[in-house]
Amino acid sequence: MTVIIAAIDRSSAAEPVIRAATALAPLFDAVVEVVHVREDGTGFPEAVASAAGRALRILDGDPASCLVDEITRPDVVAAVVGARGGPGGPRPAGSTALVVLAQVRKPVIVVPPEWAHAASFERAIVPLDAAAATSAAVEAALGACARAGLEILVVHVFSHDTLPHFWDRPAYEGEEWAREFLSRHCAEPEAHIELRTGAPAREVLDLVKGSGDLIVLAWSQDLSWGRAHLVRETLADSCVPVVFVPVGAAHHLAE
Amino acid sequence: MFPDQTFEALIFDWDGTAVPDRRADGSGMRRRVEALCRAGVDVAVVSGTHVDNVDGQLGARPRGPGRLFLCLNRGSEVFEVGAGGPELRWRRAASKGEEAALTRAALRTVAALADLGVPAEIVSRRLNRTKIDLIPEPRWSDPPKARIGELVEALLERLARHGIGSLAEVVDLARREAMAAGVSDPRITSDAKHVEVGLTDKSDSARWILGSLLGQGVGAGLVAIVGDEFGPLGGMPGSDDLMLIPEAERAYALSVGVEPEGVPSGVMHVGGGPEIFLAFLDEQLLRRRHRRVPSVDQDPAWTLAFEGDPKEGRRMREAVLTLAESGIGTRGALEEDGPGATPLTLVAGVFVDGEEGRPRLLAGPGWTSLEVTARRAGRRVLDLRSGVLWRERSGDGAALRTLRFASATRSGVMAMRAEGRADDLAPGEALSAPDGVETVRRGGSHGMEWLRATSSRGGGILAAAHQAVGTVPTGCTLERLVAYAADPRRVPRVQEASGRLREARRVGFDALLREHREAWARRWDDAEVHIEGDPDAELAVRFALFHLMASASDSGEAAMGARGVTGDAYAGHVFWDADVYALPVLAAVRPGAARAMLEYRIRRLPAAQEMAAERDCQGARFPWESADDGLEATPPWASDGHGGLLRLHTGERADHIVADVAWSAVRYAQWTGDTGFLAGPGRQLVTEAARYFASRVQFDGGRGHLYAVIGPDEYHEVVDDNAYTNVMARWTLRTAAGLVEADDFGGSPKDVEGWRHTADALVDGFDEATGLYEQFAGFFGLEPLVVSEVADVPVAADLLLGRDRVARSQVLKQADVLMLHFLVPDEVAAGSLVANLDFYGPRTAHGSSLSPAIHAALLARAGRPEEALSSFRLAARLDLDDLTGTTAGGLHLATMGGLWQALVHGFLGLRLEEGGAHLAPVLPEGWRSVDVTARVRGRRVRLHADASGGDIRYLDDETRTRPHSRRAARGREEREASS
Repeated sequence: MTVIIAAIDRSSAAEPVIRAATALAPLFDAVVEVVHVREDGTGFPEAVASAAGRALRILDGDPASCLVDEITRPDVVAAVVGARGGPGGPRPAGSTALVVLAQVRKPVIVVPPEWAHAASFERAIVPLDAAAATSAAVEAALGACARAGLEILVVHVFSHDTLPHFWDRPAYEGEEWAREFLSRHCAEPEAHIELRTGAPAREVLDLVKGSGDLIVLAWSQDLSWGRAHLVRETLADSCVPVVFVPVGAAHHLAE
Repeated sequence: MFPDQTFEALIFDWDGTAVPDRRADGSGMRRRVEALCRAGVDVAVVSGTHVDNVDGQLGARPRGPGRLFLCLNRGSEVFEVGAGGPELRWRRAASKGEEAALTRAALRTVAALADLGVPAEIVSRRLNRTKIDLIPEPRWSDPPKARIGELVEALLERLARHGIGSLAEVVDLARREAMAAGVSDPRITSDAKHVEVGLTDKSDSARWILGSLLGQGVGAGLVAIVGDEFGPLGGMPGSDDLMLIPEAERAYALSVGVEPEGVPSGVMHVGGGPEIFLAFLDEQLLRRRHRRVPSVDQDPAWTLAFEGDPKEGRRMREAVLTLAESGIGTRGALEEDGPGATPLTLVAGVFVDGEEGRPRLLAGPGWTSLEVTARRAGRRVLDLRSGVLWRERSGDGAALRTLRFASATRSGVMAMRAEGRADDLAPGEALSAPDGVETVRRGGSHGMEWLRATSSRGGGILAAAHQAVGTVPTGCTLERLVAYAADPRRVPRVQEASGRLREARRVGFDALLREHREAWARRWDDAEVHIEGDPDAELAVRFALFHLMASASDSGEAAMGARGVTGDAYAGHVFWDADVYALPVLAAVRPGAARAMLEYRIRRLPAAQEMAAERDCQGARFPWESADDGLEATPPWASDGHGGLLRLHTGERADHIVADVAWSAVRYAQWTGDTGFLAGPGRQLVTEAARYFASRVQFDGGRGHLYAVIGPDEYHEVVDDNAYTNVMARWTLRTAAGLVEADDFGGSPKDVEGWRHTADALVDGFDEATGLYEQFAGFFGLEPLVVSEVADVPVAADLLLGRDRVARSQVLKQADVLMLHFLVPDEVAAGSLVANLDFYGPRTAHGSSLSPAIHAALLARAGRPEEALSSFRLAARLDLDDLTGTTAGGLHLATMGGLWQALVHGFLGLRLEEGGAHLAPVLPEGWRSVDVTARVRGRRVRLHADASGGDIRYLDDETRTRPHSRRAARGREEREASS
């Protein structure tokens, strides 16, 4: 049996994390295992897990190291962590979550503390930048989402460096450009696409309509370059869970 | 032993190759030659001897469709043999001076040999040559070919006794003496026993026959050249080596001779003499009986080749590899298509209701699907010269091969052959239902199946097909013939297609292919392009011409959509792309197709008149974007890139389309000289356009204005007095007035007076002080932004800066003012090109794919050929490199049209005037010369330019050559004057 780890702390994200893990479990064909790394006390985590009807396993040690060890277990396919407020912005991931994101070569789902209730996900919003590695990274995730009945909305944001050379007649050009983009970068035949121009994070987040949305984002696990800007801003501002899929990582998703 | 290829033509030596000697029985060869000709193969016998010898021994009397040529007398004569025997087709006629020089040359050679102690004799005088026996000894009086090695040995021994080291020395001696005797280009040949001094040799035979084959659309790669003496003899190249001229580079060369000193590189040596050659012919006949897949001449100057099937290029290649004819196009999807593929067959003008009732092209039945087990593309080659798409995938066992074409001679007929391993290839159903079309019916009987897609707008597309499956030792073969019938307004009946199919079956695949190749060869005769020094540019222009010529039918009406029938992007709608960019090219190379495009406009004049009336105007207001009914089909909204919608105004405001249609009618007449057109339906296009503008112009005192329009630069919408629109309107008014005045019919003097008055009153934004036209009223007051400040060109500046920002700035999508200098140079101020080019060039983002080609033309005319070439290359590679990211949805036919026009009107500087055609060439450094063939006023002409200038040669009147201005005038603006 494969496992999805729901890592909770003593923040307000603990309950949404368990909820998100429960909603995501069918996508990963996995069971949910709730863990907590002991810090000052375990009362709050235990209460949250209990309220969700989940057993809680307590770990001891450095939180980040403990979680990385747990998630790298062969039977674990993904992990869900909370985004916790801190000094770096309105809601950046906590330092533990950042270490996990950077080190684990499996999908990690970051859940904002205010994420409202969603029994299941309805739509996956998938930013794609036309890089083959990005498209390959999310391919399995999109397949899982499609099989689970989620609507898939690919979003491509033109930036200064990636603008098309030509854009003949807007009524047709976008439609045709989008069709070819999907053909090249998304294997899901039912996927829709939205073309935007501007700041990628702002445009992606602008597409989030409700709590049933899920953002699926491939990233290079390097916050210093590449997609890090989009990753940081999405971490900070997303009001829905974000699945971070490491580029080049093996796929740990249900087939 | 033999190549895995079916050849379309066989060229072979006679003595020693086809027959052991001249007394041998030639009946076996006769049977095979006649069978090959029956199968459609062209056969050419090449020999040094005369017609009585070869024809007497061969005795073949083929009845076609393949032709039999006897290329005899060592390159001096060609006979074509039909049922009635040989008939002379060509003879090299020597002048009296050449005859005398040949005699002197032979005498001098014999004398020179005698001086060296080698007795030699002049043994015969034949047509254009003299034969000298180098070894006049009884035992070598008539040596058989099989003893060639002994003969060479004996001769070399004889020569060596007198200090001559090789046969090559004798040949050199003969050449020297011949030249000294006055033979300017002596052809010295030797079969070891003889040396011949002549005016021609086998290379002339090869050149003639390969030229003739090219005229049939058969390139050298489809030819086998067979001989027995390719290898050197006594230090001399073998006599058959002369057939391997540069033009034969891709031909398959096979030697059945002894070849004692080996064969040159590239020649396959199997030996075995005539017996093996007969086996080779039998194998070729067997391949044809087995319906093996024909080959393609992979000439890099004429073919586009793709390896593999990468996802990112799959749909783009489908568009590039489209085969179209008579307005019916089938994308070049792999036969097994599969995920990500868009296999489509579309028919120009046949629409179905799409979203919100807006028409889009109806997808017709597919005809190229096969069940292929292993999905690997292999290599695919589109042969532009002959209009065929060929595929080969090697692997374990027999290769998978397919070849298909859309018949250029039989409207609506398609044909395909396939072969492969039995476990890899199965025919499946001949016709496949198009995706997304709900109203499809299928039926069939007597081995014929049919499939019909019906449109909600009343029309439909029907295909009828027959396929034959065969078994060969290497696997299986398939032959599929298909006939289409389509109608935009009614559902086609099965009989319409089945009749065509029956006829196609009666003709047969091989003959269909043969006539198809011939038809394309004839097309290219009128549309040749050769750019010496730039093969990439040359291929790109040929690619453009190929698709333009294939996209339109040349009868009835032709609704050429923005992407033709190469894809369903732009819904198949017709824009000014067709009138201004594509039509002029077809007027020059396929006038019937251009006329059919105009017929599309003519038949929709009532709709255009209705639209004018709805605007309280007179005349005809053509739609900016239209489908089958001629009504406005422009979508009112588009995405704004931020989740919102943009209101599109082009449908209501792009009034320049009215003048564009009028201009295309006049342009057609200029190219074709079709005076009847401008006296008839063409004039109505122009005068109705003039009436529209006359009623649309608003007067402010004495000045006329066109308010609230959109010019070609769509970054600036709803502007007043757009220079392009106003000047084109002025041109239309004046042209219409001229037409009416020239022939007092179809307009009243009052009309003419009013049109001229309105034309003279229209403001055009020209400032004499600066030499600049203001693109529209208030343009100079906009933010003076140049593109290089924000991005490299080309760039979609509206996406980069946003619609509002570009509208407030001077950044352009494409330059309206410069377009005037291209279309109506006589309507703009003389000498104003450079100033406007310098002003508007840096402001042009080229966000329209229409823009680069026009800039290339104007930069050339401004004397800046290297800058022009950069723009030209952008247009040339637009689809080949998918620079737009949307080639998958179909090819940019307008860019293709612009490319050819840039070459002809830009670099060659062609102007069509009442007094005739004139060139003013300006070539980039790398282009050594340019030759373009077209039809001007019914006559086939070759436009030639090189560093010394240009000339126009009337090919049906070779004596008339017009020299034109030299490049000395380079750098001068707008070199429009001829010598």
